[in-house]
Amino acid sequence: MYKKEISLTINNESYVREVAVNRTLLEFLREDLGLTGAKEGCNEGECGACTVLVDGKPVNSCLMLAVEADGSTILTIEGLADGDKLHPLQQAFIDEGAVQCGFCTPGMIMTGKAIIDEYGNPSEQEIRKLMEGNLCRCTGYTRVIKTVKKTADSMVENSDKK
Amino acid sequence: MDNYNVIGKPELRKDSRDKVTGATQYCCDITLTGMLHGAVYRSKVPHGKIQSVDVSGAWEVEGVRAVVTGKDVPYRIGRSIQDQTFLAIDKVRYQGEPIVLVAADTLEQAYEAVRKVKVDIEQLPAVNDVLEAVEENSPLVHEKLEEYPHIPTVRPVNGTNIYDHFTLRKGDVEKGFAEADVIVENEYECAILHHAAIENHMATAKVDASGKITVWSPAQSPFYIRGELSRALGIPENKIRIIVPPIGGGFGGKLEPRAEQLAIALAMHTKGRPVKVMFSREEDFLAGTVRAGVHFKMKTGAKKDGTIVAFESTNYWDSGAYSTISPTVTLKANVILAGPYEVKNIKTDGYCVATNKQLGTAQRGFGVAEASYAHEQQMDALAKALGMDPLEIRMKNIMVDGSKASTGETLFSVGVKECLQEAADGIGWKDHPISWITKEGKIRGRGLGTFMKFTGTPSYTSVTIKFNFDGTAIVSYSTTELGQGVGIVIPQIVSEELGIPLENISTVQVDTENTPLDKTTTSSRATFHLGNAAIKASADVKRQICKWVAFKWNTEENLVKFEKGGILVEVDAEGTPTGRTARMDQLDENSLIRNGEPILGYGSYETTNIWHKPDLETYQTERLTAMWFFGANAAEVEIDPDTGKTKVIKVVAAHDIGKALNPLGCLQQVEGGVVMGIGNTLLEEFIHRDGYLMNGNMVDFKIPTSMDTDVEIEMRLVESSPHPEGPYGAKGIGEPAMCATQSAVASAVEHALGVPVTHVPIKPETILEACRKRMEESK
Amino acid sequence: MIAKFDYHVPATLKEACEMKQEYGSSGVIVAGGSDVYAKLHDGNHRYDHVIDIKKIPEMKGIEWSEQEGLSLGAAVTHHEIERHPVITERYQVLVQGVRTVGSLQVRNRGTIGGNICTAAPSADGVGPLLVLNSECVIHGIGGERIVPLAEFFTGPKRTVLRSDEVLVRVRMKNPASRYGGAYFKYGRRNAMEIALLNISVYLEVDDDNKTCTEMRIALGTSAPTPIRVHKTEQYFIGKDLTDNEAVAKGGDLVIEEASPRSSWRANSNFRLTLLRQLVPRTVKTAYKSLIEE
Ligand SMILES: Cc1cc2nc3c(=O)[nH]c(=O)nc-3n(C[C@H](O)[C@H](O)[C@H](O)COP(=O)(O)OP(=O)(O)OC[C@H]3O[C@@H](n4cnc5c(N)ncnc54)[C@H](O)[C@@H]3O)c2cc1C
Ligand code: FES
Ligand code: FES
Repeated sequence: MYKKEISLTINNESYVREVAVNRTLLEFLREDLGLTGAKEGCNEGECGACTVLVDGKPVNSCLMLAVEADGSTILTIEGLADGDKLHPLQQAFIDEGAVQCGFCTPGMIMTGKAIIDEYGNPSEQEIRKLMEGNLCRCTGYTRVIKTVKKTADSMVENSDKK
Repeated sequence: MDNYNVIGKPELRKDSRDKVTGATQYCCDITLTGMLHGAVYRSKVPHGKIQSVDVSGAWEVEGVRAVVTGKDVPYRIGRSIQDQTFLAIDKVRYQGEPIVLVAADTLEQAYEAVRKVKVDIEQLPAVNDVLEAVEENSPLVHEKLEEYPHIPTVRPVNGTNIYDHFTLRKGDVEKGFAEADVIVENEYECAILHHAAIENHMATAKVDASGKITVWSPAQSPFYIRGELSRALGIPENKIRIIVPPIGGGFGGKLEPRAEQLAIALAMHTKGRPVKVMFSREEDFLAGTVRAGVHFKMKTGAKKDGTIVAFESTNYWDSGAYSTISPTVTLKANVILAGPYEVKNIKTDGYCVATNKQLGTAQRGFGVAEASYAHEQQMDALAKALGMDPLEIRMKNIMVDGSKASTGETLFSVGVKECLQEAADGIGWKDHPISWITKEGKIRGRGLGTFMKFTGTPSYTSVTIKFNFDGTAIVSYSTTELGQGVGIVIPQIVSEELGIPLENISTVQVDTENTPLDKTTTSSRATFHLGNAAIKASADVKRQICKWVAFKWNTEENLVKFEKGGILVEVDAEGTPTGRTARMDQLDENSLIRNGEPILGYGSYETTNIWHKPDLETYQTERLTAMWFFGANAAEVEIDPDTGKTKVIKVVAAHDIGKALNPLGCLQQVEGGVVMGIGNTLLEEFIHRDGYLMNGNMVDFKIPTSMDTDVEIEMRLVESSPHPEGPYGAKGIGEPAMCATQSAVASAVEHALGVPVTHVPIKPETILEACRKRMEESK
Repeated sequence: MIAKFDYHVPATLKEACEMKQEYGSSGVIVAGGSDVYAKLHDGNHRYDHVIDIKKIPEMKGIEWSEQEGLSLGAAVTHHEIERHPVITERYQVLVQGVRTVGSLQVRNRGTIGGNICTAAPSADGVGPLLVLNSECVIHGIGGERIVPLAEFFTGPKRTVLRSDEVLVRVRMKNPASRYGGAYFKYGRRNAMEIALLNISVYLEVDDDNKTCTEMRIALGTSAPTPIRVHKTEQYFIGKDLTDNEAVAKGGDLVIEEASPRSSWRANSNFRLTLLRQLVPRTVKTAYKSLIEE
C-alpha cells in the first residue's frame, strides 16, 4: 500500500487522516496538520529538534513514519500547556533564561518533560546523559540542564505535598 | 552607583513565551498561498568543467513548474569580489555548488525532478590545501580572478589563487628583531569548521508582476543581502523586500546570501507563485558557509625582561571557492595578530586564498578566535624561552589606556589588564602550578588567553519609536534577533530613557521595507550602535511629548522639562518648578496626548566622522574603529593519558564590557560562547579529501553535546573602563564571548603537556604522543 | 524526504520471510527504522518495498527465567533493555553497552535486532552480547535455526541471514552469580557517536578473588566485524587480576588479534594504541565491579 488511513490522538484531539506511507511523522505534523512546533534540523536522528512524545516516549519524529504512529497518543510542544497555564518546565525555561534562538527549545522541552515523567527526579548527571540527543548551539546546555533539574525538584516537592 | 531603573538589570527576554510553546514562526514554519517547493541539483565533484546540462527529464515529472539553469540567471554576487554566480555556469568550484533549480507543487516532486537532471562534468584536479594553493604551479580555482569587479580595498593577485593580500607595517621589524634577546618562531593551524546553527539555511521568495521581489529568510543582515541582490540583479533597493522572521541561530553563518538567490531565481520563473527553498542538513554543510581554515607563520622577538620588541607573521586563509566576506576576516585577524600587547614593530602579510572547498566566511569573531589562539601560543612559547611565568610575560606587555595599537593609533578605554588579572585570579593562578598530575593519574593544566577585536567602522544604524496615545511604545530597528537578545536590550534602553515600564514596549519584525536602515548584525555592534540610536530616538520622542504637553498646559515649550524616571515638570522662567507635573506612564489618564499630534521618534547613529581611512600598504591610521573590545579567559583542563581526551574543568571569562546593560544576557552569551569555543578547540573540523567533504552530518561533524559540556563557567564583568561614546558606557559581548576560549584551552593543554599546540582542533592522536613523554619524564 | 515505497506489515513470521524472499534487493526489513530511514532520507538510497516486522508477536518482549536465562525479541528497543529490572541487575554489561547507543530518542525506536542485523563493526549492543555468549534464533521459510552470535557476521554489513531469513530472538544463559562486566566506548565526543572502538569484558575469578578463571573480551570497530579475542582471553586465565603488569600485558597481546582499518575517522595505529591501553583498563574496571559488588 502507498497510502493508509490512520487514526491517532494528538494533543488530546483525535485525528483520522489518510497519509502517504513514506511520509514521516514530522512531515505529517508540520505540513498536514500545521503543527510546526517540532523542527527539522537534520532529518537523520542527530539533532533532536523534531522530538515529540509517542505514547509518552520521546522519539525523533523525522525517523518515524506517520503510519507507524497509527493508534498512538502523541504529544507535541503545542499540547503541553494547559490552556493559558504553561507546563512548569516551559515556565522554568523562560524564568531561568534557558532559551536563546529557541530553535532547539521545543525538542529540549519535550525530552525534558519525558525524563521527568519517567525518572522522577534524576541527578544533573543523569539529565545530561538523557538529553544527549538534543543539540543546542546557543546556550552551552548548562542553563538547560539546571532548568530541567530545578523543575524536577519542584515537581517532586509539590507532589510530595499533595 | 548609577541609579538606573532597568539598565543593568537581568531582565528576561520577551520572545521566550512563544518559543517555549512552539508558537514562534521561524522561516521554515511559514507557508504561503500557492507556494511551490524548490530543490537543487548540486555538483557532486569539487572542481570541474560543465560540459552539458540536460533538464528534459526534470520537466517530465508531474507537478514541475519551473526549471532554472545557470544561463537563465547570470547574475554575480560577492561582497568583496563579484566572483559568484547564482548557479554554476561553465565551471563548478566546490562540492555542493548549485547547478540546476527545480520548483514543483510538492517537495517530493521537486526532489524527483532533481534526480532526473543530467549534468556532464569534466573533472579537474581539486585545490585542496591552502599552502599548495599559493604555490606557483597550483591549478587555479578562478582562471581570471582579476577580471571580476572588486572593491578597491581588496587586492586580488593576478594568475594566482590569492583573493587578497593584506599588509600591515608598523615600525621596523628588522630593527626590532635585531634588538631581541630571544626569538620564537612557530606555525599554527586552525581547521575549517561550520557554524552549525540548528536551523539550516532557507528562503522563500516571490516576484510580483511589477517585478518587486519579496524574500522571507533568516538573514542575519537583511540590508547587506538586499544590497548584494540589488547590485547583482540591477533592481533598485526599494523593489527588494527582505522579511526576517526569528532566526534559529546565526553565528556569522547567515550573513551571506545562500538560499535567497536560489529562491529568487526560481520565483522569477513561476509567474508570481512563491517558492520555498530549504537546505537539508547535508546541503547546509556543503553549501552554507564555513569558518575559513588558516595557517599562521609567527615570529616574535623579546628582550630578556620579557618586553616584546618585534612581531612578524605571514598567514594563509583557506577561504574556499568564492571570496564572500573573507578578505575582511583576513584583515580583522591580521590587525590584532600580535594580541592586546604593545609591540613597537609589527609586520603582517595575510593572504586570503581560493581552494575548491566550502565558502569560508566569518564566524562569531571574524578571525579573532583563531588569531588569539596563535598569539597566545606565542606568548607561552616566549615565557618558556625566557623562563618567565606565562601571566607575568602577558602582564609585562599588556595594553593599557594610551597604548599604541598595531595601527599606530592611541587606545583609550582599555580594560584588558583588569580582565587578565580577573581571569587569572578566578582560576587560582597563583595558588597552583601550571601543570600537575592528579591522584588518578590524569594530567591537569592551566592556561590563559587574551584577545582584542574591533567593530567594523564606518557603520550606521537607526531606530524609530512609535509612541502611542495609551503610553505604550513600538520600537523598530533592523538588527535581527538571532538569539543574542537584542530584543530585550533595546527595549530596556527605551524604557530607561522614556521612564515607561518595560512591558509597555514592543518590538517589530525586521523587514527592509518597514524597519529603519541598518548595516549588519555582526561585529557585536548592536548594543553600541543601536543603543546610541535608541537613546537619540527616545530623546526625539521626549521632545515631541514636551511640546504637546506644553500646548495642553498652555505654556511655553521650553518650560516643560523631562526628568529622570519619566516625570514631566513645568518650570517658570527662572527654572523653578511650578508644581504642575505629569508622569509618563499616566499621560493617557490625564488625556495629555490623546488625539494630539502623532508622536514618532527617530534616532540614528553612524561612525564615519570618527573613522580615519587606514593606509592600504601599512594599515596605519589615527583611528580605525568606533570601539575596541578586550577580554581574557583562563582555563583548567584535565587530560586522560590513556585516551588522549581533554576535559575542560573550568573556564573563567573576564570581559571588558564597559557597562553590562543586561547581566543575564551577558551570562547567556558567555555560557554559549565558551561552550562553542570548547567545541572549536577540541572537536570541530571539516575533513576533506581532494576537495570532497567527508563528514557533512551532525554525527561526524561534532558540535558539543550535553555530555561534553559539564564545565564550570565563571563570568567576570569588568566595568572599570566604560566607553565614552557607548550607551551608558557599554561595549559589546556577542562575539567576544568566545574569542579567548580557544586560546585559553589551547594554552592549558600546552602547559599540561609541555609541548606547543600547533593545530586546532586538538586531537587525541597528538595528545597521546605528548602524554606518554610527559608521563615518562615525571616518573 | 523519503522516496516513495510500498509498505507491508506482515503479521506472522511466515509472511515476513516470504516477503523478504519475494522482494529481494528491492525490499528492506525495518524494525525501529533508525538505520533504514536515516539512510533513505539522503535520497541516494531507495527501496520499493518496506517490510515492517514490529507487529510480529515472536519478535517482541523480554523473557527471563532462572533456568533458561534471557531471551530478547529482535524488535525489543534499547530503552526497554536499559530499563528492564532483571537486565539492569544481572546483565550490567549489556545495559552499559546499549545505553551508549545514539540518544534516548534513538534508543526508544532502535532495536537490538536492528543493531545486530545492520552488522556494523561499531554496533554498541553487539559486543556485550558476544561476551554473554548469545545465540541468534533465525527463522526462514523452511523453519528455524540457531546460530551463535559469534558466527552471525560474515563481513562488514554482511550476515549469515539468507534471502528468506529474519532474526527473531537473541538469547543467552544467565551469567555466573559472581562476575565482573564492563563496557568501554571510545568516541571523540562523549555522546551521539559511532564508536571509534569499543571493548566489552566479562570475567570470573576464583575463590581467592583474584585469579582469573574465565575471561571473555569482545572488540568493536577493530576488525571488519565485531570480534572475540580468544588468544588474549586465554592469556588471562590463571592470571592474578590485581597484578597491574600482568593485566597490562593483555594490551600487548590484544593488538595482535585486532586489525582495525585506517579511515578518515582515525588511522589504525591510533586505534591500536588505544586498544593497548584501554583493554587492560576495561578489564580492571570489570574486575573492580566484581570486587565492589
Ligand atoms: C542518530 C543515530 C545515532 C546512532 N547511534 C548509534 C550508536 O551510538 N551505536 C549503535 O550501535 N548504533 C547507533 N545507531 C544505529 C541504530 O540506531 C542502531 O543500530 C539500532 O539498533 C538499529 O535498530 P533499528 O531497529 O532502528 O534498525 P532498522 O533501521 O529497523 O534496521 C537496521 C537493519 O537491520 C535489518 N533488520 C532489522 N531487524 C531485523 C530482523 N529482525 N531480521 C533481519 N533483519 C533485520 C534491517 O533490514 C536493516 O538493514 C544510530 C542511529 C542514528 C540514526
Ligand atoms: S530533525 Fe529529527 S533529529 Fe534532527
Ligand atoms: S537556543 Fe539556539 S539552538 Fe538552542
